[in-house]
Amino acid sequence: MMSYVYDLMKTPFVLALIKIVILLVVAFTVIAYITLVERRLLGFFQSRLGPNRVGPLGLIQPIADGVKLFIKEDTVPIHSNSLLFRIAPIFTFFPSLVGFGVLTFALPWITPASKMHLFALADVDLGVLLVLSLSSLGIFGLMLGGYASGSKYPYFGGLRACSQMLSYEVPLTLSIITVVMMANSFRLSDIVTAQQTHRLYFFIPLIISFVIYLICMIAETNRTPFDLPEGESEIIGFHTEYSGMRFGFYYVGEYTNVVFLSMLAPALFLGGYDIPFVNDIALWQVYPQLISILGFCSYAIKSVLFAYFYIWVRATFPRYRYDQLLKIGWLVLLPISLVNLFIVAGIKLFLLK
Amino acid sequence: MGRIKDINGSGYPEWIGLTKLDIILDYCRRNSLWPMTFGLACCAIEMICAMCSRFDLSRFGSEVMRPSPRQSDVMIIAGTVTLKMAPMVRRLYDEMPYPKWVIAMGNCAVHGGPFDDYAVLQGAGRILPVDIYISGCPPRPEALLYALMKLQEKIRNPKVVNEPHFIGPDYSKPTKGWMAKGEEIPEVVEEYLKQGRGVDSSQILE
Repeated sequence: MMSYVYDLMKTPFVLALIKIVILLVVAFTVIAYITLVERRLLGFFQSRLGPNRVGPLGLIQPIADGVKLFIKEDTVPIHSNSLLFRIAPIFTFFPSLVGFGVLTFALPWITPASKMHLFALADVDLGVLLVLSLSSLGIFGLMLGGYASGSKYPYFGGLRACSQMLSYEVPLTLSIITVVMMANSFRLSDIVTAQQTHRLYFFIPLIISFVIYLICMIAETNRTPFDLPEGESEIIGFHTEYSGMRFGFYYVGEYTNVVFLSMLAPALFLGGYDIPFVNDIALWQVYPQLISILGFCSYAIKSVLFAYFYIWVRATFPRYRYDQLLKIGWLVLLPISLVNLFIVAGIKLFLLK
Repeated sequence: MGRIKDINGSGYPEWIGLTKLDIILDYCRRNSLWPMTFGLACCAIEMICAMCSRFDLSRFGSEVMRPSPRQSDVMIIAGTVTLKMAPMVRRLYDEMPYPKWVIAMGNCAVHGGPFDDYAVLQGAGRILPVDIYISGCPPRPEALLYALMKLQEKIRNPKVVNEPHFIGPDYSKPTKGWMAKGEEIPEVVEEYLKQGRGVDSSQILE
């Protein structure tokens, strides 16, 4: 019986299922606890303490919030389009969750039986394109949620969200395309390998793309200073009519996006699972498992840096006005990223043959 | 969290802790009270102070001020409820999903405070079920923190409502002003309560 189970575990399908379960558990834990980390860090930035009463160091706070949202009454407004209203939160939440499947977290793991296991669910050829298309799918949740609420203020909030995310996706894509050109591949693990072989992280030659990416990833996830779609305190956002877990899905979806984009950024610009100042691939051939684990840790630390950056920016900057936001998107970031694209393409064509 | 050992006498091992689901759910409810951003007058300043660094309401996990009644759990009526505002207060309360609680903060929200006149509702308790009353003009932020802790105690153990310090003002006593003439609940508010919707604010001044 046990040997049968063991054989079954070695089939690719079951192996993929196990990977999915591990990935989901880790991802959900990280997403839940980044809310706590954000609240505690915001507290420290404002010389407060932040949530510290619920469990040791406030560690049960995210669970308490989640359970409370689940058991809260779920209201559906009478004027709403009830089907769309019910399914809209799923559109924000799941596309960003799918994105985790494309990421490669470390160099391949080599078992004692010298079999290779990728540290990724699906290292697809067009990983970057898949990620970009999924992030544009996330707009639907905001738009549909605002539209289906049956109230004019959430409707305006949805329109704001839509135009903001569309206008910031263009510079985001253009800045990622420069990375793709440097690496000659759309596959995320190839991009990391290119940085490893050049012994140069892409944020040094592509510093303009890197800065544009940093700005656009904040705007893309609707975080302060670009949180106009939400606009809690003065302009009313798209999820005003949502209560209970449907609101929770928007809330979690935002943090899923934050975690996902801060895990994508190191892969594109900071060398991903590369350990700095060390020739990874040479060492990996000698100590494969050690380097895989250390590479994973290095990737985690780099992602934490980006997540910290999100919170830091949120604690520092006030919100932009809406016309300023669109002006930054179309009149500043788009021309800069276009010129940057041409410059990088020219360098790639004529200098780095 | 509470623990009930040997719930049906079947002799579970010691290390299995049994509890009621309600206890866990109440634990989560009371530790994640999201207040509604609802400042009406000067008490709101004290409410803001309670959120800031010296007092820090966020330690209890309730710094998440939700601007929408749909997502909030506790309504802190911080300030004077005028007759013009009263239907809106009631409407926002009705829009909050269950379970929901109300804290009346300050003398004005408790019984009208110094404003015993034609324009002020003599206590938010006349139009909504208030859970916790905080006296003071305005109350200190510590008082709001204490009220929040008392509300948590109330969610954990509803029996505490019978304790003396949970008894609110006696609305049956006549006040000095026009409300003494038998008009306990103003007509406009009463009309709203019947119809279940807001009223034209021009009616209120008549």
